[in-house]
Amino acid sequence: MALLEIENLHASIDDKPILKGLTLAVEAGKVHAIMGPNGSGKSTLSAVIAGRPGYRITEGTIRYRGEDITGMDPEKRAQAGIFLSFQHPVEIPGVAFTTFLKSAINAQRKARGEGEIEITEFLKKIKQAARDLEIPDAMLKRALNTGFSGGEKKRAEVLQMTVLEPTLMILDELDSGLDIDALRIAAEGVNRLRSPERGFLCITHYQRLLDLIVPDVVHILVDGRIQRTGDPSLALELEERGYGDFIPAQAGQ
Amino acid sequence: MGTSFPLRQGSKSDMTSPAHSSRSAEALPPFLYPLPADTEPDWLKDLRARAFDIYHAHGLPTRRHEAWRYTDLSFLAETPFTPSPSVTLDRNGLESAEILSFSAPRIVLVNGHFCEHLSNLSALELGISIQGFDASPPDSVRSALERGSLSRALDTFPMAALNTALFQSGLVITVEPGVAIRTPIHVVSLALSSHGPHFSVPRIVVHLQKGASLSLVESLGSLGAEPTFANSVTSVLLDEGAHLSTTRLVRERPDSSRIETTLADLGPDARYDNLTLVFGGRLVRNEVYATLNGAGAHAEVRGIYGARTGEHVDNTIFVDHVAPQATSGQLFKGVLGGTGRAVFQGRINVGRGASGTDGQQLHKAMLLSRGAEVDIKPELYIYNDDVACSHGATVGELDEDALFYLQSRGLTREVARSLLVEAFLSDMLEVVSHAPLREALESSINTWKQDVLSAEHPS
Ligand SMILES: Nc1ncnc2c1ncn2[C@@H]1O[C@H](COP(=O)(O)OP(=O)(O)OP(=O)(O)O)[C@@H](O)[C@H]1O
Ligand SMILES: [Mg+2]
Repeated sequence: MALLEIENLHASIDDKPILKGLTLAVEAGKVHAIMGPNGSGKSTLSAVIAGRPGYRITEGTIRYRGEDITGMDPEKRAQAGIFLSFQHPVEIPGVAFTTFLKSAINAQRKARGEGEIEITEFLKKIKQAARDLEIPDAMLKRALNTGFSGGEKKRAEVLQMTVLEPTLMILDELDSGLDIDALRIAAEGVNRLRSPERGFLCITHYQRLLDLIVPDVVHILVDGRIQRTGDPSLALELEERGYGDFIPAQAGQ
Repeated sequence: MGTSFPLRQGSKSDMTSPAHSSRSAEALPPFLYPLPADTEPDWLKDLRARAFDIYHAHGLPTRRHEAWRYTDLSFLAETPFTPSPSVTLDRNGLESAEILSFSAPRIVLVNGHFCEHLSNLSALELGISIQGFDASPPDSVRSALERGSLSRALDTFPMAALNTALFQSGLVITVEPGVAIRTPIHVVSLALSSHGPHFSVPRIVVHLQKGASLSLVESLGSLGAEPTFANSVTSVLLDEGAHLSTTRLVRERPDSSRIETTLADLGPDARYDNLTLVFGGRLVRNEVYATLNGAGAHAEVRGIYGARTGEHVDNTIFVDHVAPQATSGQLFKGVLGGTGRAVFQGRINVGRGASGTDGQQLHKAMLLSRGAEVDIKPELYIYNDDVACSHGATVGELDEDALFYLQSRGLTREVARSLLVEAFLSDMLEVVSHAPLREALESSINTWKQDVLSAEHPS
C-alpha cells in the first residue's frame, strides 16, 4: 500500500473541470516530482489533497495510508500528517508566527492524544530549525508571513514542516521566489526530513530544484491528468524539448 | 407609545417645579417627568428647566431624526420602564456582573447611586477628589455643566438633555492643577432592575484642572432579571494641558439597553483618549461629542465592539474642531455575528478658526455571518482650507485563504476563526499601557469572542 493513492480524480471549481481523471501513487520513502505547464492543475491537485474547500470532487478517490480522505476536513488531514507547502503562503497580520506554530503543534498533538509540548522543547526545536534554515530570530517574532519576502516565506514553510514533522509533504513550487543560496538552504531542509516513512510530492517547473531534491519518480501533468511517468531522466528530457510532446491532441492548439 | 411615567420614588405629585408647573404629566414624552422643586441652586434649576424644555420639544428620538436614522428606540417607549429606585447591592451581586477585573481604587454606582460599601477609595493619591452625590450634585460640578460647549450640546443631544433634566445621583471627579494621578481609577456603574424594568439617569462629571492627568477605567453594565435602560451622561472638562484617558467596557445583558453620552470640552493642549469596548446589549449607543476648544488639543476616540443576534451597537462620534492646530483621531473596529446590527456614525467638524486641523477617522467591521449588518455614516464638514482630514471604512469577512492556511496546519476551523478575529482586533489594545488593565480587557474580549464564535458554529 502506497502512502498516497489517488485514483481517477475529477475535480472542478465553479463547474470548470480542472482535474480530469488523475491517477497517482506516492510510496513512503520516495520523492515524486510533478512537472507541468502553467494552469495544468498542479496547485489544484495539492489543494485537493490538503482538503481546501471550494473544489467539487465529481469522481475518484484520494487515499492516505489506505484511508479514503476525499471528504475529510483539512485540519484532520494535517493532524494525520499531511503538510502542504504553499506556492503562495498566506500573509496573516496580527497572528504571531511563533504563537501560531505552537498552537499548530499542540493541535496536532491533541489529535494524537498527546499533551501539550513543553515550552523549552518547542523553543529548542524552532531555534534549531531556524538556525539550519538561516532564518533570523527577528522573523520568528513577526506576524505570520506578513511582509516576509518571497524567499523568506518559502523558508518559513520549510521551518513549519521541520517542526511539525509530517509524513506526507506536498511542496508546491518550493523553488519559486528563492535565490540560489536560499534554494540550496531550503532544499537541504527538505532533504533532512527524508526518511523511509515519509513521502514527498514535489511540484516544480525546473530541473535546478530536482538537482537538489533528487526525485525517485517524475510525473508529467498536463490538462488535469498525468500524461507520463518516468525516472528522473524524464525531467531532463522535458528541459530539452518542452511540453509539446505531452499535450494531448484535444487539449493542444 | 404614549407611556407615562410615575414620579420618582420619594417625590410627591404635588411637588412640581415652578418652571414646569404648567405641564401635565400626560403630555410628557417617554421617560420625562417633572422634578420636585427642592433646594437646588438657581443655576441648576435654570439648566434643568432648559434641558427639560429641549427634551420635551424633541421627544424620544425616532428614526426620522437624522442622528437616529439607524437606531430605533421605539421599543424603549413600549417597555413599561419606571425610574429606578435607590437600591443597593451586596458583594455577591457585584461579583455576578461582568466588570473588568484588575486591582485599582474602585467606585461603584448602582442606578447612579454611590455604594460606599462596595467602593474602595483607601488608596487614593493626593490631589484627586471623588465625590458621590445622591440628591443633588455639589457646586463643584457647576463649571463643567455650565461650560458653553457642554451646555450648548444639550440642544443637539436630546438624551443628554433628558439626563440633565432628571439626574439626581452620580459622581464628581476632580483633579487639582498639575497633579498626575498614577494609578487608574475604576468606576463601576451598573443598572439594576429590582421590581420590573427600570431606567436610570446616572451622571458623571470629570474635571481635570490645568496640567492634571488621570486614567479612568469604567465598567458599565446591568444586573437583574428584568430589562434595564441606562441613559447615562459623562461630562468631561479638561483645562489647559490636562490629559484624561478613559477606558471603558460596556457589557449589557440581552434585554438591557444603554445610551452612554460623553460630552467633552478640551482646553489648549489638553488631550482626551477614549477607548470604549461594547459587547452585547439589546441596544447600546456610545455617543461621544468632543469639542476641541483650545489650540493644540488632541482627542483620540477609539472603540471595539461586537454585536450578535438580538443586539444593536451604535457608536456615534462627533469631533468638533473649534480651535487651531488641534488634532483628532477616530478608530473603530467591530465584529458582528448572527443577525447582529451595528451603526457607526463618525463626524468631523472643522470650524472657520480651526486652521492646522488634523482629523482622521477609520472604521473597520468584520461580518462573521450573512445575516449581520452594519450602517456606516462618515461625515466631514470643513470650513477652513488649512486642514488634513481623512476617513475610511471597510467591511469584510473572515479571509477564506487565511482560514484554510491555518487549518492546513492542523488548527480546527473554530480555532482558526478565533485567531483571525483576535488578529483583527489585536492592534486596538496597543494604546493601553497599564498591563493589568490590558490583560483584563483582553480577557473580556476573549470571553465575548468565544461566545460569538460558538454561536456561529455550535459544536
Ligand atoms: N478559484 C478559481 N476559479 C476559477 N478557476 C480557477 C480557480 N483556481 C484555479 N483555477 C483555474 O484552474 C486551472 C489550474 O490552476 P492551478 O493553479 O492548479 O495551475 P498550476 O498547474 O498550479 O499552474 P502554475 O504552474 O501557474 O502554478 C487554471 O486554469 C486556473 O485558472
Ligand atoms: Mg501552481
